[in-house]
Amino acid sequence: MKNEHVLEQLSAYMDGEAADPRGVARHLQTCETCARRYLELRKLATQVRKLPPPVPHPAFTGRVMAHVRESQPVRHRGLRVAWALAAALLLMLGGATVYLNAPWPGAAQPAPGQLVAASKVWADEEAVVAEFCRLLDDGAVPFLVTAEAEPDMEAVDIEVEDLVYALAMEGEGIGEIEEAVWYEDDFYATIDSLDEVEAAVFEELLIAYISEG
Amino acid sequence: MQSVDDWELVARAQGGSLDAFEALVRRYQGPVIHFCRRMVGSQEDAEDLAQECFVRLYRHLARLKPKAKFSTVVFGIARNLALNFVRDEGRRGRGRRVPAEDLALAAKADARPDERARVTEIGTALETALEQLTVEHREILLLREMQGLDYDGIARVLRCRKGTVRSRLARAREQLRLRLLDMGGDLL
Repeated sequence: MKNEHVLEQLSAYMDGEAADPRGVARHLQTCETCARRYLELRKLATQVRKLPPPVPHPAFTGRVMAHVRESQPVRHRGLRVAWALAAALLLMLGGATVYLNAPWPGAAQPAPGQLVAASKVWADEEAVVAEFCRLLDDGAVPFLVTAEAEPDMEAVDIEVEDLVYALAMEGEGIGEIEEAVWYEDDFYATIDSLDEVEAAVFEELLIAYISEG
Repeated sequence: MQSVDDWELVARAQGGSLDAFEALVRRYQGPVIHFCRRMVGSQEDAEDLAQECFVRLYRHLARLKPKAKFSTVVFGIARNLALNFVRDEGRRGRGRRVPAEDLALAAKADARPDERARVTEIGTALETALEQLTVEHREILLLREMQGLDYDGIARVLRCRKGTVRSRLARAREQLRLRLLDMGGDLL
């Protein structure tokens, strides 16, 4: 085993995650340099773990529970609203064309379950909502793809937090939640720079999420 | 923290028990505040973020399913909040705030003065070195060393592949090591 390959192995080896732990162990027995480095890594890990944690303020739990009591758990709503949630997601793409067919609005009738992407600047929000609802009724899964950062969502009173965080908690390779925007007590998140693989995963999750409704 | 017990509490909280949710808060408030504190630098900001983390957890209780360790859910939310905060502070031109009084000592009470001084020296150097790491390196070290998450758990929190965890953690440790060496070769 070459020395230059051992460093990254040492870190994983220390955590029990090395690809070839026996090989590393044998190497450590014969290579003083790597053995010394391994000892340093272990000391470092120990010292980091020993750094004292901060002590929470005595009132912290009480404050949290006070806020919790004021909050309401997000209930799973009907299918229509779930689809509207999907519609309100804002995706800021890294340039890739993500989705299926059917430029919107005024496109050919989408097939049930088909994802319909729209790329437009937010203009008339009521019209946007109306069009989304029409597509939903037709069985499509509309969502908005926009290059705009923070559109005026005044006419759109829907909450996306449920879906976004549901997907985030699924942890299925969705891109980073880059921005968190609060608007009139509703939360809008932008998911930044989905690559094509992530977009495909997102599409599947979106359909599954809505199907569960 | 026992994951089985965590999901039992979650189930009870999902059934409406605020006591169960409060038990979860008490169980995780320390680790979450610790994580946020090391990410954002200020105790006050860390507690604000931790509070937000638990409120959001509560609001999305209905969606939680015991598919993985509960800790990965909690730290996933905490991490997003911390990253957003760091990003926002960066945009405002503010660096991380690390009040001197936050630097607590881990020296044993019965240690000799020179031993306590030594521990203080290492601890202070480590604090400084951790702050100097990139956010990406700092968070993975925190999740591994301080929160004890395994590679699968870290991958889940960071939403990356396990191989990425392996290589990123190795680089983070190396960067920390190099910074400590810069400060004083004998600290290790």
